Amino acid sequence: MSAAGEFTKGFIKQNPVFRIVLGLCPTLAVTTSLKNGIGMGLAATFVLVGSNVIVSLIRKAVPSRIRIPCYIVVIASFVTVVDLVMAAYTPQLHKNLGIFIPLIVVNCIILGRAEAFASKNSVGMSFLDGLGMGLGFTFALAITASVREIIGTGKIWDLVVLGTKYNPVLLAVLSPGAFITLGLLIGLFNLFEVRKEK
Amino acid sequence: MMAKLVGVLAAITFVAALGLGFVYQKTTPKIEAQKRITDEVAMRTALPQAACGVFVKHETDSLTYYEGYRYPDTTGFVGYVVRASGRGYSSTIETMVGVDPSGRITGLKITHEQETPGLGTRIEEVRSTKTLLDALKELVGKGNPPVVAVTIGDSTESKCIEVIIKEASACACLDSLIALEDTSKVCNIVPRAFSLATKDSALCLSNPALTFEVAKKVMQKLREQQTPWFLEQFIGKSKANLLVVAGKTDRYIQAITGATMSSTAVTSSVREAITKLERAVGGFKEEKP
Repeated sequence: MSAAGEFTKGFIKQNPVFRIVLGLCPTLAVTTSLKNGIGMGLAATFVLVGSNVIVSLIRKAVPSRIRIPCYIVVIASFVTVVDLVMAAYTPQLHKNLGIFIPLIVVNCIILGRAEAFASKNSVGMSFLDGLGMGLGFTFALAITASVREIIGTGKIWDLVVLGTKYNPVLLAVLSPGAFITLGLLIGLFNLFEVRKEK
Repeated sequence: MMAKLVGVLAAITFVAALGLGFVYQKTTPKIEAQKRITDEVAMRTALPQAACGVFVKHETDSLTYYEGYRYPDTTGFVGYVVRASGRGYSSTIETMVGVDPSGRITGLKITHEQETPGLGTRIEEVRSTKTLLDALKELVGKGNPPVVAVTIGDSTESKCIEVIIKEASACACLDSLIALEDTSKVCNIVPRAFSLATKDSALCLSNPALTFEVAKKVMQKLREQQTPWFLEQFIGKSKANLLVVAGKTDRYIQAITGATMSSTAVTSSVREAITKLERAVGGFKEEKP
């Protein structure tokens, strides 16, 4: 696949959330507001790009038997860096995302891309793959969060969208709302792809 | 073979530790500074009457609390600030509570919580009525300035309000001086602080009484806009009124829908902290009827 193809595949065709259905824990948990969704998406993108590049760099030196612990050390290090930097420079966002920042360590997309792509490809291609997948993940979080925030609070980015008299459907920002919204969006994306293929 | 496996893993771990050590060293001072600022702002928000003054720390066996003074020379005692903490839905919620000498809450600031985003975190949500349309209008420069709601006179006065509201947040003491009804200082501090920013401050100087009145309205508006509606309910209440009830209430505390555990945690921890404080200071002063 071309470099452009590696970068763009994560947006729609192989979107980690809507097509590959990975990283559902943060998708369900933090998409109660657009701010949180974008914040989490960008944090995961940083970890994804960093870990992909390092895994690709060390791929020939790491014996197959210990590759998973090595990848986990690399990923956990990047997550800790994100956690510390966010606590220092974006304290409010760090506070909002709470426990879900450390939990990026167990996000399947990160380990999935390290194992499936970065461990077999060059640094440049791994960088593009990480960036594309990360931005695709951010895009998925942003869409899910927008739908939930608008329906659940009548607002988006703290701005009233549906008028001050709108009675918010609280279910949308509660856990069931996350599953319903995500299910509908996954269905919609699959429908779109199937029609495109036909 | 085993030696190679151990060696590779140890090398990766060593490099990771070095990198993390470097980042930790670089970010720790900033994180510590953020924490200090958070605590300082929390104390001054909790006890606004002491915003220009000082806080003196007191420690007993079971409680740490601060006495707040109006002036930097520790004169003019205005109340206490005490830290409260309670177990919410998914985290321990820490709060700074300001209490006046008669035991009534003067302010509240949450310093730490990791509740569910969109639910428990709404205990810190500031009421917003700005619409997307307003934001878009502002973006293209056709929006109304937010000061319209507090306009009290002609265009000169409106200009004066604009000057104040634009810069009010830069002046930490303004709120406190207004609370003290210290007209002369407000009339001094407002134009002086803002004179560099705009020539319009001369309008405020020419009419000190108006400046004071306008500043009061502006700060009231800012307070309404900046205090989360959940925390707003606590102000003026004594520990006897700190009970969570269903439905709208002026006497007790109304829980945030979908975040009853977080609401209850804040309310009960504040009640408990005030009870401990009362014991530590030997009781509150009776309010004059």
